[in-house]
Amino acid sequence: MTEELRMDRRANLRAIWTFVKRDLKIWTYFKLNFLIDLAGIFSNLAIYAIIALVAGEIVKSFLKPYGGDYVSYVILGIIFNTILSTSLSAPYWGTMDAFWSGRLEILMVSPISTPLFITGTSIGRYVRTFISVLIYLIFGVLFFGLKVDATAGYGLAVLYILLAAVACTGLGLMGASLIYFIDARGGQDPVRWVVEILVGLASGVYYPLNILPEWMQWLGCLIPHTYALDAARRVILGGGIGVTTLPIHSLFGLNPLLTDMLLLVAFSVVTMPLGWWMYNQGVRKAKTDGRLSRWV
Amino acid sequence: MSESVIETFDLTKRFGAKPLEEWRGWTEQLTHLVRQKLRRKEGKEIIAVDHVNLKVKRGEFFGLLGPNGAGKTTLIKLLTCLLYPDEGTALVNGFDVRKQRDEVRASMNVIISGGWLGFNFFLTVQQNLEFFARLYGLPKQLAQERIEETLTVLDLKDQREEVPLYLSSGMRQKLLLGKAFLVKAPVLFLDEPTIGLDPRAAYNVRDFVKNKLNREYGITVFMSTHYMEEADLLCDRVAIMHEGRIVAVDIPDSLKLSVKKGDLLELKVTNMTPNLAERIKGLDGVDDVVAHIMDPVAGVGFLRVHTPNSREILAELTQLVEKEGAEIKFIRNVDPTLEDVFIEFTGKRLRE
Repeated sequence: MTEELRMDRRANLRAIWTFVKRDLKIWTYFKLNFLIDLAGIFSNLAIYAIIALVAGEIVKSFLKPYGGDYVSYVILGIIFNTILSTSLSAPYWGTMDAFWSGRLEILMVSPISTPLFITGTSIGRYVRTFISVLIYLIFGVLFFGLKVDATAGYGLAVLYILLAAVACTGLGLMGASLIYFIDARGGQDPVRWVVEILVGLASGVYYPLNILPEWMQWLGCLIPHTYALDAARRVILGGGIGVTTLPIHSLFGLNPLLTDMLLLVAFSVVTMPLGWWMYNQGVRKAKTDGRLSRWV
Repeated sequence: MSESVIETFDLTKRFGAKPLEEWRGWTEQLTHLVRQKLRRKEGKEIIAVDHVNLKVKRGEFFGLLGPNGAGKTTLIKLLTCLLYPDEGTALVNGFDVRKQRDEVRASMNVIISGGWLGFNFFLTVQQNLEFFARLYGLPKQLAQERIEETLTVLDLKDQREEVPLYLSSGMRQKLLLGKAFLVKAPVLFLDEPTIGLDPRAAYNVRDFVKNKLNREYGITVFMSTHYMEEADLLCDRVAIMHEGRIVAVDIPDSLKLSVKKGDLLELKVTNMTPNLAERIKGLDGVDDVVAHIMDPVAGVGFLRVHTPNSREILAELTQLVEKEGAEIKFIRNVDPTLEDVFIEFTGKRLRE
């Protein structure tokens, strides 16, 4: 009369879909939150459109490799950073939400694997990000003058962003592992904190890096965001494909786009397995010292 | 029926300070060293589960009885792979908790105490059940059939569109039990399933687990509780756990019989003085006295007097109680309870 149920590939996919549906239902449960998120996107874009009005001409000369238009530059920067920020934070917040809501134990005693646990608890954030990105694009084109060129290399841009997302997921897993290693359960993980400071200061989300002193430009070269933003903007917005924009480009002597690609691959190859290994070690440690669960 | 579905072999879990050589990976060694540097010392070692050896038969309703802090929850966490043992191992449905964790998880269901853990609070009852069904890999059609069946059996049909946030604690606990009914895994671990429930809700939970899950579907139930009446009522066998160790295992009646060395008198007393139990203990023919004070202000409580022959001490006992200014409300011969068993084996009361 009893049964043992195993998770095959179809069951895993169904479980992931269930996580997506769950997160969307929770996101839209409080209708006001959803509307406030929409208003936040609109006001964020409006702020940068006003900055563009004031400072667009001043930074135009620095934006030549990216087509010269500040509004398009910054909207794409915000969109790409929204995606990469999700990759960076999803493993941490997925785990923390499960922990604080008391679902971590239920998930960890169920037959789902650790990769499915991470995917399931993170995927809702990606879906929300995807919807946000669409809204950014729609608002950007309709109200704020985001220039869309039908012949631009969107596929290549997506590839750059995907590679950076993999690298950021690896960094995110490293950060999430600190939940178990150093009890980083208070909403801040040191890895994400450091990366986000570098992103804000020196990755080129809001302004081109060539306006910064060289030592700060080198700081930007420590994170994958810089290469993804640089390359994806170039292929979408045109401008100088072969112009070096980062100090590291001169070191290799290759086409800057190729350099960006190689460095993103290198980041992904290093951070993803390392992040995965650290997360598993963290779970193992928490299951050894008894700090995994709120169930006592 | 005789096959073991849970078996532990010197299962041990320690918390707190450990010798460095016991930490396996280099990351753990590094973390341990850093912690030692930061904290100077790691505190006292606690052995939460101490070389536990148990066998639970397939289809059995097995109870783990002990006070808070006895190690019951830690033992369940070890058996459900939420904790890794320091020594020994265990088999759940024939799978090793150290080496075959995926198989162990596919073989069991866990209901955690309190009724607040595990829900998606902003999904409806039906959506929560769908979520549970998918976590356990139930195909869509089968999941829908099982959800309907679960809602009917648990009498939750009227609440299917409500979110757990607004359900009573009894209904939330029912919903959690629905997980065990959706997927009838061979083993069900229950940690204090009726804690915080009102008597009617607790009765419903016990009835569902015993009659539906255990008797009708043959699910082996491993339940921890500190309610002796619950263990006595439900369990085929009970293990008494104290300070991480199993001090006795048997069917409840045998356990109670094992501590019955003569007669047991129970007195309900008012105006009870703190030293009354000690004075009674001094009477000839009295082996032991256990006092349970219900209302310290009014001095209302129960005295359980162990004696080889109750008839021989009755007159002297009542005289002494009255002399001490207390009033006997009733006096009766009773059989030992699991509380008496616990006191016999540990020297302490369950609710101390």
